[in-house]
Amino acid sequence: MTQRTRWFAPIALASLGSMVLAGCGTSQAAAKSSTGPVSLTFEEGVQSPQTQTYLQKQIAAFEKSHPGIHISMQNYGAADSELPKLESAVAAHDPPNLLWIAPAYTGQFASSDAIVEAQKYFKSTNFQASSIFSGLLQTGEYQGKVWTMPFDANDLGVYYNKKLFAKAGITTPPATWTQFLADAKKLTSNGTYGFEMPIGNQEWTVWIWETLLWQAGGHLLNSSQTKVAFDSPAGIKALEFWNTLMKDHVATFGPLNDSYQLGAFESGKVAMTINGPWNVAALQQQHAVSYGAFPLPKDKIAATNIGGESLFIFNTTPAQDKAAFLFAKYVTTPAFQIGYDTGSGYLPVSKTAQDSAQYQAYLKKNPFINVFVKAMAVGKARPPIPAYPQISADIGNAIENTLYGRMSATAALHQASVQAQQALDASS
Amino acid sequence: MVGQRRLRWWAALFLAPAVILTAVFFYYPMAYILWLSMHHWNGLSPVKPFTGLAEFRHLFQQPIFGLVIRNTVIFVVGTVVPSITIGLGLALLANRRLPFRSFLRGVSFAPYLVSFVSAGLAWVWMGSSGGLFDHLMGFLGFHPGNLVDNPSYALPYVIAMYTWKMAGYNMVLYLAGLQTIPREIYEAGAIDGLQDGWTQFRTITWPLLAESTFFVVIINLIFSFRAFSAIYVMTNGGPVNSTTTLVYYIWNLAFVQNSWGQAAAASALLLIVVLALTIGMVRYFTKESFRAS
Repeated sequence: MTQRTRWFAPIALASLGSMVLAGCGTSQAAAKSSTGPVSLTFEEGVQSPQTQTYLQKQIAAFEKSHPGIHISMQNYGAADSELPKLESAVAAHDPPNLLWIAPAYTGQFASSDAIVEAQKYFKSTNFQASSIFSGLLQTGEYQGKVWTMPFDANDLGVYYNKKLFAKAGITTPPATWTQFLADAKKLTSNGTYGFEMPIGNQEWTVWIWETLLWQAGGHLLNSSQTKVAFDSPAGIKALEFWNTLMKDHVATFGPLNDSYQLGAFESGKVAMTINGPWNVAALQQQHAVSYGAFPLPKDKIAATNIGGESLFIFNTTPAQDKAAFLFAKYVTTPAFQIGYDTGSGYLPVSKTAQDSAQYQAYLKKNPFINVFVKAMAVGKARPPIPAYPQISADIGNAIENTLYGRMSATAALHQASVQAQQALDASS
Repeated sequence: MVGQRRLRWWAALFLAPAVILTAVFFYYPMAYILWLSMHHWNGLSPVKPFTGLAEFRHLFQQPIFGLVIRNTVIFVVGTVVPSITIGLGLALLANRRLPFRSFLRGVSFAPYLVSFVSAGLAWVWMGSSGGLFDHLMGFLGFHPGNLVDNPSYALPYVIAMYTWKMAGYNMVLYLAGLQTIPREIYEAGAIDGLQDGWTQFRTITWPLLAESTFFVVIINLIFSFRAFSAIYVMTNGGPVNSTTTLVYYIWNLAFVQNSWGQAAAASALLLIVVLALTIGMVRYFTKESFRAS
């Protein structure tokens, strides 16, 4: 008994300690570096089951044309919950090979050496970057190089309720801010509002507001991306225009931070709301509202905000990185894009896919989608710099402070720009 | 001598799991937070440059920082005081021989068993425009509209939900305390002329509940300072940051804005405040219960 106790206790201690340490290890890293056929993990957050099925089919087609590469796909659900998980995976040197997510994170991941620069494979794999819409390619740029590859595209337009428009005697949708305000007034009557104002200090609200900043001739940053520039006459004008819509009682707030939801629009309580092409299937399924879409009204210029998802290639082994790029390249081809876009309501990333006879026939049948396709010509992108999330949060606070009447547009934007500049300086 | 050494090994063995787990999951993260609060980090980068106290300075300079502190104080005081008072009241009621006593206990404790996420969502629906509360207030000729979207009502509404959930929990803790008070003391009190309920409560029940109160106050303070899911589900810290408390703000800084240095600085601040409050409480209550006994 005494003998056993003597050796047992220290061993038990040591084994407990090593158990705890083993939990922190990287078990998959070793498996990934094996030679022979390359296995890739692909994490995506595609929502619709039909699009999921299509993706599976396309991956099978890709594997057939690229023997030696195997891709296993995994759905991560909502992007908000994926990011914290991803941050830990990168810290533990166990990231997925491919990630489908908004390109806005490009700067953060690129500056942290977590992902591989996509552009370095362009020449060796004979990839024609010019086939991709240039505005879209810019969404994945960091320090002048393309890091992340466009997967699908979307942008913003106005949804409108055709019946309410006819009732108000509006025959042509508004094309300018002035007309928009006048029409919103006509559309507002007992319990129905002309426009649903996006509200909340998160990205959805800011993403929409940026289109007004650009329409008024403003910019988020200066051209060298060293100074914030939204605290300008154009910025103030853009924010005051929204404020006017609220003060004139022709707009009502959408659900806080969830203003992309279509409840009020689908129940006919608001006549116009700003949203993207991806709701086409949901809109087709409801029969309460006869809907249409028109381009965002312009002020000095016309502008919309380009969104969509890109493929991030995480730093693993050279063989895996290259194989991952080959898949990213395959995704941009018409063979992939046309089927993906016609099924999901997303927009093509390349002109070749968009101009194809098959896609053009689809557009003829879906004039709603065509509004968003055409708007891509005036699409601008958020700068995918590391400080963007902070700048966005500051602008979000300015929008809320103004629309809730806590501050003037001028004061709110000034306060936001001081904060945003500080974040920009700290990140560079 | 040999026996004592052996005993020491046994002690180490039995303490090991607790010591290792606490060190790995508690002291290490705490030390790491303090270290991180003096570095700039975006959550991913392998480099974390030392910035001294700059992250604290940036944090204090945030225009909403004052509002965050104000919200935190209102939330903590606004939830701790009523949930303890109501909990104590319910415990006193449930400790009597009343009809439906078990029912009262069950109904009061049930909210605590529901997760904050489901309860939060239910309260969002009840507080929506045309929802239960809007409708009930309508009888008083007052239509508050959507409570969670209103910067004046959102914080009180979240506080109400949180209090509703915690009161039953406090009731159970107090009930346990009440049942440890021997009946003889009340009988002795009655002989000494303590007849009415209020005097009995003031001179016997309340002093003898000091240990329960001590535990209830500390646990509620810590819970309220750390409250996150209710706010996340109900308001996302809005509107106009009117429900952004320190913990929600820490989450936002880290996971939305990727400012991990500032988030760590805010966490360090929270740690200091909670630690100071707990130490203060321990000192106060140990004196108090000493006097009572």
